[in-house]
Amino acid sequence: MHVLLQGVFMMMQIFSNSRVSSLLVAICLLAAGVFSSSLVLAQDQTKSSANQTSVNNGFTEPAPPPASGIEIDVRVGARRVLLPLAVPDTQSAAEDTKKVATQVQETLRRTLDFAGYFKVLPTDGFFFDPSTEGMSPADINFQNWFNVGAQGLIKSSVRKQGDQFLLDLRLYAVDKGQPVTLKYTGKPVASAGVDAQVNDFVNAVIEHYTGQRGVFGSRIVYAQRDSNGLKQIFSMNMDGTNRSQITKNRAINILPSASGGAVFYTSYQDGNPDLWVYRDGKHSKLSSRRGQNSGAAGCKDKLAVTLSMGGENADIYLIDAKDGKIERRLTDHWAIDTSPRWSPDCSQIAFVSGRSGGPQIYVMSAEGADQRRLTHQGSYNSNPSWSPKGDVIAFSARDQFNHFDIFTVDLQGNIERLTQDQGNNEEPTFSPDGRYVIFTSDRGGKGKRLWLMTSDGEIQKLLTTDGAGFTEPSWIH
Amino acid sequence: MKYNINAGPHRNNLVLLMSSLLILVFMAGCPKAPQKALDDAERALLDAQDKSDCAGEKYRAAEKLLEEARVLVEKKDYDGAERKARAAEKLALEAREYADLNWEDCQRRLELARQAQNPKPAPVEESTGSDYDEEEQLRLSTLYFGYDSSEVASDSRNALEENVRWLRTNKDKPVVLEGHTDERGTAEYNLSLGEKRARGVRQYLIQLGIDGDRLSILSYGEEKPAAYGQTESDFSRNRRVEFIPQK
Repeated sequence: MHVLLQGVFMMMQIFSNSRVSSLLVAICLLAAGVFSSSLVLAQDQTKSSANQTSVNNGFTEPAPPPASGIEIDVRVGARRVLLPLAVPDTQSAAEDTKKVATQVQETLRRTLDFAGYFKVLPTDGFFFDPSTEGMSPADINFQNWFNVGAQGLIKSSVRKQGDQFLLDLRLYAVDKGQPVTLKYTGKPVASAGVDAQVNDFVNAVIEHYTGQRGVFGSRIVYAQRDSNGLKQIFSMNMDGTNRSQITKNRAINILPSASGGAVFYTSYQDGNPDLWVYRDGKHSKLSSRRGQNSGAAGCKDKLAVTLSMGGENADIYLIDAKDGKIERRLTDHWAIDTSPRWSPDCSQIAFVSGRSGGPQIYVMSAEGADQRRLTHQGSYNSNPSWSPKGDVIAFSARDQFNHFDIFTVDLQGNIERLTQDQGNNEEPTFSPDGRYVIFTSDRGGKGKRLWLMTSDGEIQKLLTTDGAGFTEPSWIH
Repeated sequence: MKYNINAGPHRNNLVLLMSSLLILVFMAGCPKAPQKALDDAERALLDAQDKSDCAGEKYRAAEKLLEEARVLVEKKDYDGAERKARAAEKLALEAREYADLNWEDCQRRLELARQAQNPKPAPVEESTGSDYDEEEQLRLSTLYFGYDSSEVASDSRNALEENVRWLRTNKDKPVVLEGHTDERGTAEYNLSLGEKRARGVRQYLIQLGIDGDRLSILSYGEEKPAAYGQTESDFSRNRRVEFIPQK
């Protein structure tokens, strides 16, 4: 024992000499190499347990039916069963289609990963070279794909046809060794249409496995702070791609929403928080009453907004979407009433009111009748978003540790938690099919970024991997 | 035989060396960059950053130390890097404290210095409009509020009284009361909260006999922070009503 300690002491002396550090690093690398396999195993275990602890809900959406024949389930959390899909590199015969091929394979992998139904198998885990394998069933060695654990196989290739690109996208059932017939038809597209076509194919793949078509390609609007401290309105695809800037002024622009082909937002460009609309390529002022004009929510031909009418007090009104005239006052309370959000059938409105002290979620009829409080836990509940199925309203709540997290509440007031222990999570917005919620989170310590999660909260993915300052996402309906 | 006798202990030493090395590797982990110290220093610097103009030499010294620490990391002198990073963190914290103490004075000095350098400054911001009276702004103080509260904080009462005196002296000047909140909570609710703060101040001033026609209110909610940091001290500086005099 004494000798051993002496050895350790000797090593410590060497250790303190920085010139020997590099030697130590080398030894460490060696050790790391030897033990890497066990490390990987340990990481996998912590990952799956982390997933399980982050899940805390009783949501009971049925998992997709597992493909018959093979019993390989990749479990994430308690209920969701992910189907293993192989998505080998998109093949491209010529040099001038290589870039598009990369775009196709990246879009395929990203959206299938975001979909929440699949585990896209890592390509470096293939023990054979898929690049030499053809597209047709006769050319495919299904035994190989079976052996890497794939249940579905997506084959893709790109070639040029005149100025356009012809994408060949196919789904194979590995156990049957046969192509799957999808509700999808490819046709030649310009390079700007490539993503849309891949989205359409992925939506058909989702429909094949779940019975309900996917909504990839649908878009959100959001606000982003720039380096001058101003904010501009943008839109992008639900997978974080294809961004486009809507406002380009020298002012603060906030609280965007979009429906019926119009984007509504609040802008300070004339020195007051006015409501603006962007329609047919043109920006115009819709409501510029002194004080707050904000949070427009459209449903069919109705438009609900928050107005403070000269700074008196924030209440909810219906205004004419064309000329901004007030049609009806929906709330009349000395406390703050704001953030109206429609039920999918336009018959009810969820909103935020401070009439009980802090902000809470309330519902009322489209005429402002039957106002009742829905959330009774916590002292700060806001940002309602009504699910397209109409059964729940997502919102963000401040918990007892002063952290914000996303919850849902049904119309009886029953609460489910979707996020936990991951920074502050706010501003949920439901996808048109109700499968996903996009929200802002400051997790990871890199400022506010946009995340997408399945509506049960089980799978959560970062959408904006570049920069920060992303806020106020709102799905375009 | 002789060879064996000599070689035995030597080989034992080697084994000992290797095993103690392995033990060390597992006990102490691989030598690696003192990431926590570097992160701490960076965070302290970030906290001090928006006050760096008022933090004097200490801020720049802290910056320099952190840079040196990073150079040492590249040279794999992790001990040295950690020492430098810790020193940088300490200096940055001190810089911040110093800036906090001298904040108001320093801001006014800086503003006057800027004006002296540039007698005809460009309009500060589009939102304050062309009627904004920048010179008089320096004589008015900002009022601060508690978290979630629309009551003027007790330590802002003196500032409020000063502003009232100014309003009584400058009877012809209209003033915009600009309400702001910190970034926590919902953007849209904060817009209303900022307005509520400004409205509360306006009503108080009217009660004291100030003509309400001179006082308009405007809320920026959480959109125009005075401090961009995430600390409680940043938040408390953002919960405010500014008095913006007009010409």
